[in-house]
Amino acid sequence: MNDPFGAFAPATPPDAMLAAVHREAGRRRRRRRSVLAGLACLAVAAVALWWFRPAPAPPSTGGAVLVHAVTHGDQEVPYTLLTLPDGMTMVVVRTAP
Amino acid sequence: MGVERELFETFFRQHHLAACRFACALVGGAEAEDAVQEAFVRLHLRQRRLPAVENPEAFFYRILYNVCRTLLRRRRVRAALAGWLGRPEPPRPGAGLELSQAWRILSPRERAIFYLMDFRGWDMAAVAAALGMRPATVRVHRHRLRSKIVNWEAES
Repeated sequence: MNDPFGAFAPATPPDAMLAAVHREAGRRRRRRRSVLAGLACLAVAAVALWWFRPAPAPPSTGGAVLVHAVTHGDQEVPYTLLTLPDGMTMVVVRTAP
Repeated sequence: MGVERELFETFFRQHHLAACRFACALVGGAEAEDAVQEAFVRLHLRQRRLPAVENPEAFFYRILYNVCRTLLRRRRVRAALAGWLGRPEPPRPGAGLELSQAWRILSPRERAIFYLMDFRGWDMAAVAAALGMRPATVRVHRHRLRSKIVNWEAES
């Protein structure tokens, strides 16, 4: 049978269409690469932010404790700071009997 | 890369005109070249796979067939939208061979099967590979389209 569409002749010359195909394919390839690069950058940034995240804040102690020295009579004595389970801090002083 | 490009260009020159006529059979002359160009762009993006493809022609015609179906779907949506808005659809630019009334009664799949088998002489297996269906399905569609054409001839 004869091709009923055999009379159809494209208006665009083949060489012009081939050039357009190359151009369009290159453009799409570049766009695809840039999208992939953008996604990779986002992933790297997310990992970096997670890796270098700030350390968690220490639990609150219920009030500031500032001890410079503990005196017993007219002498300075050593002391130990002891954190209690309820967050309070106790100063433990060992003195001579 | 050079070999792939050369292979692609050879393939383009071999199949450009036939592809335009196939697209014309599916979507009409006004959009046939757009469809062919889009199909070749998609093939270009997959050109690394081209040497490994068993039947490059069927592979390309599958792409082209899908592009044509997408164009027809868009056209239907445009027409429905234009009807809904009460505005007539503007005529598409570009002169070409428009689809005849007999050709319009066939679905795109039937047009593709009819064109490839009856005018190009492809066998059923090749058409099935190109359209992504089983040969038995192609046979059923061919039978249906022949019935449609016979009925249309009897009515007109």
